[in-house]
Amino acid sequence: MDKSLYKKITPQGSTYAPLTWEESKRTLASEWSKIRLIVQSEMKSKVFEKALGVFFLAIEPIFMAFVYFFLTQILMRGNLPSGQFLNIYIAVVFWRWLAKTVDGSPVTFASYSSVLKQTNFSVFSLILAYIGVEFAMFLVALMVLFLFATMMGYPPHPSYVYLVFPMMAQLSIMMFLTVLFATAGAFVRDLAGGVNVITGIWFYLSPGIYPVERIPEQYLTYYYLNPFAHILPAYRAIILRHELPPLWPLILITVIGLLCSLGALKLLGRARRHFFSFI
Amino acid sequence: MNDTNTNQGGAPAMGVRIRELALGGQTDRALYNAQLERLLKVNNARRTLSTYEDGDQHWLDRADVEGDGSASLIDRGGFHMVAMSRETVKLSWQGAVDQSGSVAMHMLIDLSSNIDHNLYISLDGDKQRSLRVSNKSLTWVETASVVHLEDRLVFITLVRSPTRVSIYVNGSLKLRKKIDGELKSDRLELNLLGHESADLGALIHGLDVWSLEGEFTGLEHAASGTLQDELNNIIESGDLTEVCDFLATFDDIDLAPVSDKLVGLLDNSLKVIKGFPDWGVDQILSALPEETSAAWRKRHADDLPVPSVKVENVTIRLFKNPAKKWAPQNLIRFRKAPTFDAVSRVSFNVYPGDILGIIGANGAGKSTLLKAINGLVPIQEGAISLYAKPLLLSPGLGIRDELSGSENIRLACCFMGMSTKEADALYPSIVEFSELGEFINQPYKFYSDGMKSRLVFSIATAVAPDIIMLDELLNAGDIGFQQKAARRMEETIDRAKAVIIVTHSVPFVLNRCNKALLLHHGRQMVYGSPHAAVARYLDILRIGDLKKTTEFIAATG
Repeated sequence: MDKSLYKKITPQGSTYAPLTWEESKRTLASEWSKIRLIVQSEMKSKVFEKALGVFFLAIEPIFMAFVYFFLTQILMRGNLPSGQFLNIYIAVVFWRWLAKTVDGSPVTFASYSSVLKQTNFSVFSLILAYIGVEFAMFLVALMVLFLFATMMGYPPHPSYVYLVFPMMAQLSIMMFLTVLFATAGAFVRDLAGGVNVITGIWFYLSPGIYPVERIPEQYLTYYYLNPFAHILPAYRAIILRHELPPLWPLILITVIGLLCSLGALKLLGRARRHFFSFI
Repeated sequence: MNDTNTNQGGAPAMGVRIRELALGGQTDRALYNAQLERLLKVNNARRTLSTYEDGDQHWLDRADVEGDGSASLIDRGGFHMVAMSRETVKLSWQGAVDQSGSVAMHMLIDLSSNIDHNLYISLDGDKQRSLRVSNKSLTWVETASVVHLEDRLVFITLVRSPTRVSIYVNGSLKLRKKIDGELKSDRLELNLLGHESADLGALIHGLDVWSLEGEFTGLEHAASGTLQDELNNIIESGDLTEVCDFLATFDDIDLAPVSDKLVGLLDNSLKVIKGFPDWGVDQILSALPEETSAAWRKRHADDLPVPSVKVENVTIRLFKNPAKKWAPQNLIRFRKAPTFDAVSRVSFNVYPGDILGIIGANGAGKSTLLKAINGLVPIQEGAISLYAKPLLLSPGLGIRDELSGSENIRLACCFMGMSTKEADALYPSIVEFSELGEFINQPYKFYSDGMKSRLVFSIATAVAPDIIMLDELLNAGDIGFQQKAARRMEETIDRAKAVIIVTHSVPFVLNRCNKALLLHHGRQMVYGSPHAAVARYLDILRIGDLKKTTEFIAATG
């Protein structure tokens, strides 16, 4: 490529003049600062400037946990393990992090359509900012969970550092699904409804409102193919029992999730130039 | 030397006299008629319609008047055509044109009245082969050849034979183009086509139509001696665009005597710091003898300027209905989604200092092309090379209602590609220009519409990219702020190394752009002189589809 060339656009895509190491560092730092700015702005716009913003973020998981608790009381006729409400509440907080992030992903690029149609703003930065915003909102719910657990007799414990393992596993899966559905959502505008259904079914196939022990043994092999059959019990083990959960399934999920995420990011990079007609 | 370039000596005094009368503001019918009578004799011609000979009423009785505008007699002869807003008025005279041979039409028109670009004169009922008269120029529609007018009172002579059209202004030859085709009708038509923004009035003091038996003669070929003399004068003015416009109005001008001067003009075009008229260079080189142009290209192979943007044969194909592209029923049937070429084989170059205006009717593909240059729309054929960083200036990028003005400034700057440091550096000037004062820290949703538009304009025009791309000129606010905004827009354009602007503003293209690209249904109709591009654009707007007349010649070097 001609060194004086800034960018060449062909039917195969765009190619840029290669960056020096210093330029790459500057670009990365600049993109990081942009992601931070977008996260801050979106948090302010979506949460802090709303009348019920933070309150709703804190209360919603508790409310949902009560609904699930009530339903399971009826379905299982009170035949539930002790601490069932906290079990459900923990699952709801972490599950809603995934569900809200993935459910909203198909409209991520549509919500920035004016930016994407008029600038070359990095879609990678946009998707990372979107994940960052959802993570920040999840942190609010997580703090309330820790507070609630403390009130219920489960105060914070050093074992909480183990949370990094299931959270990394969950984040890698979320990253893959978010990038995948965000990319697909740019082309299929009504994808969001379908994704909602998928995550809804997935929740009931995961041990969120019931313990894994309730699954008949002959189905357990298939059941454990669901990453959340490992991730949700891991959260409970750490928060309620202060135990280190089995690591190898979590590490395996993280590695597979990251590899899939890389593939999805590559797909996004290729799809970006076709967004104009669709978003 | 080509004999058609010389004065033919028959009666140049008639042309001189006509010019004297017109430049003197004289409208007396008898004075012009005396000159026309002499010309009639020289040409052995026959009048088929005349306001000069027939008095006031006779010729108007013969006219068919159509449209919702009006046409009325004026004192001392002639008539006044008026179209208010979107009204039109058409005057036509059946039998005024003798189809058997050549015809000549003479018209004395007062351009103090506003006709905009909207008066069409047709000698054979075909608007595509008509003369468009505007307040500042004449255009032979078929070839988009433009003749500039400087005077308010103009005596126009249009001579049409089956093979050639010639136009004289105030007795001097200004255009001579080859045409192909017999006259299809015996009607003379004058069409004044109104438009929404103005009331139009064509004040025509006199009209004569003749049937000619031979070649038309008796008027001068150039106001200052020969056509070469006139071309010499234009070359010496150093304006390459004017030279190209002049060359575009003559098919048969002999350039050999002025080739050295033209080569000198081309050499000088390389020394100009702002802009490079590649289209003009190509046009002149293609008109010069092959060995001369080859020698020039060889001599300047290494010192031709490098374009900031190079667009080569670009085709952009879009889906007709993108929403259904991925519909399951189409996927199951392996049905290909229908597409159309939004832009087809478009080529142009933008050099440092160039201001390129892209014009065309709605749906012509202008904005799509601009997006493709930015890398926002994929191209299916060709290539686009950018030698500097471009930015498409867009107002209101990523604005959030809940955020304050100051937060929105930082966010919008971020979306325009600036780092937070760069945004911080620009912040004070944006706040100052927007005149928002203490309101800058209030949420955007509480701003008035005027405050909102001032803020988004201030943000959009604060940046200084190497290549500015604009989808329409930006403006904002009340009348006071609009003037300030227009000045800022001018400064932003002047600051950039190169500018590409999609616009519907004809004055901007004529006054600010040094090159223009006209798109029509995605096809490149004209790349080159802003005057030629605007002429064809207006004809497309007024009379619909026109044939493609210009081809881009591969960029120099």
